[in-house]
Amino acid sequence: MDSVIRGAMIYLIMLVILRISGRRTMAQATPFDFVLLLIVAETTQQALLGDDFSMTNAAVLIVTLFGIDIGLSYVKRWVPWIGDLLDGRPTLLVCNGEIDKRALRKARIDISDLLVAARKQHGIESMAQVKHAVLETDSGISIIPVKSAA
Amino acid sequence: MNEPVEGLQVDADRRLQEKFWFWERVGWAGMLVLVLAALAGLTGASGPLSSGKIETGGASIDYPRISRWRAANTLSVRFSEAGTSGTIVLPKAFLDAFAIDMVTPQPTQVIATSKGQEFHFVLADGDAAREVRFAITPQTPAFPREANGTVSGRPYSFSFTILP
Repeated sequence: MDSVIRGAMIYLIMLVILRISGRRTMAQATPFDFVLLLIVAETTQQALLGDDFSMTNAAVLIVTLFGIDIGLSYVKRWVPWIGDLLDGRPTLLVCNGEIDKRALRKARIDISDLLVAARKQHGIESMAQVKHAVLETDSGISIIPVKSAA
Repeated sequence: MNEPVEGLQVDADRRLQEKFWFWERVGWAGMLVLVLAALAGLTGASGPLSSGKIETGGASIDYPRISRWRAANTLSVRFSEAGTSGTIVLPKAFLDAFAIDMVTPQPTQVIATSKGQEFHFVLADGDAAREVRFAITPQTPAFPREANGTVSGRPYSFSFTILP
């Protein structure tokens, strides 16, 4: 019972912290972010396992974590507002060539981040060639170029 | 940019996003509060508020006010009254919540009573403070619980919390 409660609590804590840390975290992941991720994983492991290193405990925890994940994926399909709450919605950062500065500021994204995505996806040279830019729910930035740049 | 964008099929909702940004910042404030609370000792382990001290006249007790489940901690008793023996009764409420891993120095006698366990110690003669330490480990989460016992016959009381 203990393992299931621990697993569920850690899942919930991680879900809340990752959600409120914002999508920027993965959108502009740096090597340090990956190091941070490893540290978080190590810290979480201690809290998950406690002093029980048995295979039974590991199996119960893994099944619990995956079970919650599968369960939540169904809940998100059945109750759309929970999906919005947990995953959010895409955010328009550039619309018809117009930069939404407030959205950029709130999402902690710079023009340079948009340009990186634009260069990588379409070889775009300047913002003038960007028609739309969308911050996706998976933390990626999608760039839709103006027709002539495509 | 609240209106749907012509030609772009994207499920954006600016109102929802604005709400999220607001609550995101509330969450950051919560994270800051948690860090400050941890620095103050309100999450246990260390910090000025994580432990307490009580004086009973002949002795003082340093006790863990806020502990963390299964994290080692210490309860220390300083006998300042002249005499060659000291006694402390740890109440049942405390013993239910904490396991005693080690006692230094070793008690000469431990008596199980209806109120808890009575530890007897031999102390060096003199009125300088002599310290007895209990290495303890919280066994179960507990939200403010009272521990009422006696030290060298004088009653003491403190409350403790064990965070999960």
